[in-house]
Amino acid sequence: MVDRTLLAALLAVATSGCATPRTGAPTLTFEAPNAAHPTGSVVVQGVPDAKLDAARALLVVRTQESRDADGPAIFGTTTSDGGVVRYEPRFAFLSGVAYHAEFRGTELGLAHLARTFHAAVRPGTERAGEPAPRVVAVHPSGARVPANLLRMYVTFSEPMRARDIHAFVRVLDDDGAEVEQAFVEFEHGIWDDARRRLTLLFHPGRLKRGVGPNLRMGPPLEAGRRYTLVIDDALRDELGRPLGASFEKSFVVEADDRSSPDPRRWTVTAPVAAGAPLDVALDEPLDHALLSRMLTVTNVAGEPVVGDVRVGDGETRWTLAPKEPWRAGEYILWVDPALEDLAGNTPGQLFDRGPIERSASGAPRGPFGMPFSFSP
Amino acid sequence: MKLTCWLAPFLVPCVAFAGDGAQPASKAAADVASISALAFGPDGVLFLGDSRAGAVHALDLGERDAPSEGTRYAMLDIEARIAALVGTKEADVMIHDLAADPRSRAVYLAVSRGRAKQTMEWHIPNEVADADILIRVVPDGSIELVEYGAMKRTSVKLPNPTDDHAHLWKPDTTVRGDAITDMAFVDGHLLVSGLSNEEFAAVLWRVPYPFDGKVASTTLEIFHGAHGEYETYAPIRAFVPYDFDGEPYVLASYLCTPFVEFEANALQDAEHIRGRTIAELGSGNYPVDMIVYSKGGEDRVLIANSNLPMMILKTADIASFDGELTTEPDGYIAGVPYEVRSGTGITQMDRLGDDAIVMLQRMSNGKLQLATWSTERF
Repeated sequence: MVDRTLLAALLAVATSGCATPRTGAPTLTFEAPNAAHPTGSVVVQGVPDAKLDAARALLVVRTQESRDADGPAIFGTTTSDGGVVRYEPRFAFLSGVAYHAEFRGTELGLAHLARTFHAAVRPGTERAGEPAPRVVAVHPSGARVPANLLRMYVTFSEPMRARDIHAFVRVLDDDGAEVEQAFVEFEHGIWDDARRRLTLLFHPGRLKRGVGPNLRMGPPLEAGRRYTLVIDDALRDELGRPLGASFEKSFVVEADDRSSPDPRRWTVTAPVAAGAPLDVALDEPLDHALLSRMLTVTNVAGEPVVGDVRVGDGETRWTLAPKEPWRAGEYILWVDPALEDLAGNTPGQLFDRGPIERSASGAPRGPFGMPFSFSP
Repeated sequence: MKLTCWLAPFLVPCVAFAGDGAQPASKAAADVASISALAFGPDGVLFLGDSRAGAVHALDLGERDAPSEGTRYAMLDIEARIAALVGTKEADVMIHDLAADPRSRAVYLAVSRGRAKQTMEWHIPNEVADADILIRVVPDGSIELVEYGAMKRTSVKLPNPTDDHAHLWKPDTTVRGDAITDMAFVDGHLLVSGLSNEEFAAVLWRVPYPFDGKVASTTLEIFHGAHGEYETYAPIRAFVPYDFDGEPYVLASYLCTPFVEFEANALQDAEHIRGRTIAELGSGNYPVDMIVYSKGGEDRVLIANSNLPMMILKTADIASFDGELTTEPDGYIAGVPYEVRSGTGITQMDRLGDDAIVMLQRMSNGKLQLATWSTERF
């Protein structure tokens, strides 16, 4: 569901900044302050020589605050020497400030490039010998996702700093251009309690067919293209240690998923031994976080079976290894009706259609129990 | 220095100062290390008070536009607008001083990107950051960067400005930022208030302009009503020059909030003078800025305060006040009568021609507005 505030915000910020196909192959990078360029730089490389001079005026660097307010660029100078277009701010880029750089290359028949960056890492409190934080998982874990993908989860090895998290996260298309407004940008992001798992929520308003942002901007991902999720190397953990290297995960986008998951098509394999796991093969990849808590097992008396839940095979397999051995008898696998697939469709309802319009599969809408039995 | 590097190709030859006090005063152009205070002099000269360098610079603004009468500013979020241009967050923009050009009516602002360091109510901007950005707001509302490093200027070293020791009662704060607290140009001289390294720390420097390398230092002593004693270590926070019957005076105000009169003719080098405390305006407050204006044929002093309403003292009332406050008054209000006007959250103020006043005011929504008021309101 998209609340009204969110929709209003989406409508307010809707712009025409979406990436467009390009003919050249320029790149847009941020360079931290160094001896040659003491205030830092934003550099566009790969502009044909004949277009270098004209390209200078197309590189616009703003604070994220100013960009959000459609405000002016930062005082600075842009040169086109040595085959690169280089912007240098009049006053050095500051740590703790989010900046946005944009190369409006389409005016020269080049790509439109845009990215948000943090200028400098904060004074670190690194301790020698301790491993840097790293990304340990991204879900969906598969290489292919539907174009109406609703969420991504990024799991880190350490509790992370949440401040301005969206300045460190971006999605690039196969031209290397940043997908504008791909995610709903909550100020400090959506984190689990341990602040190790970050939830990235694709703009629901752009995904829901027929609502304003969808009509104005279209969905953030296009079927048939390859995208890359990038987590910036400057992101730090709670102790101030940076990731060290930026993290990238590429994925191919397929057609929209406009069907509900259907538990009746799952294959439930009863445990083969008292200590063996219950194994459930799903009919399609489901939401990783929801899978971890929305499938439960009880005995026929309603007593829960506690154990170790694992989600695997690109979120198409769910297993439960019981803490106590299975006892001979009947069990029930319960499916929470709110369980979603990658596109936010639940068994009884498509993400962007009301519950009255039953999903085409006719899958059950209420809590749904699937019996199985264990016999040693 | 960062600014020097940036502007190296354009720099006029400059003189480096080796240290405080030991060097003879110079009139050559020196690097600007901080823009602690701004004041206009004659013919488009903008004085930059530089606490960090312990110097004053005279910046030649060159040919200016003709005076534009009736200029009015109404900019509701000037910090956000400056933030976008200098590459920081709105919450980090700090304006250290404001001066309006009497000729062009452009407003000049001394700016730093250090407001996040302003962590206590009593922090004055110069105590937590050095302003290194000079901004010019022109009457059409656009904001320009003044590249003062590349502009023609002369400089003079102030003798013996305070060193950088810890502030008496503000934690994590040093006093060098108070080396220069306010400036005003009068009768061919720039008056500079601040702190020196002398035994009597509070000081008024009297600097002839054009600079000839000579600076007269006079240390100050006043009776501070809220403290119930004579003091020498607190600096003037705001002052204005004013002539009574052809005799020049300095009307000055201090933290907590004594209002004091000094005879300007007594501002001689190496002298120590005692001011006459003629009003106590209330404690828990400091004066932000003072100006003199005329209304109904009489001159008035308008004071913007950090924690109290705006105050108006008629110069006729000051002239006719014969007494001197030498005891701690009840409620810390005594002496020359004054009127109050609404106006809180004023952080900077200056005259804008004869009929208007330009102010920076913190609004209830947290935004800082640049606004103009008619002197008739006061």
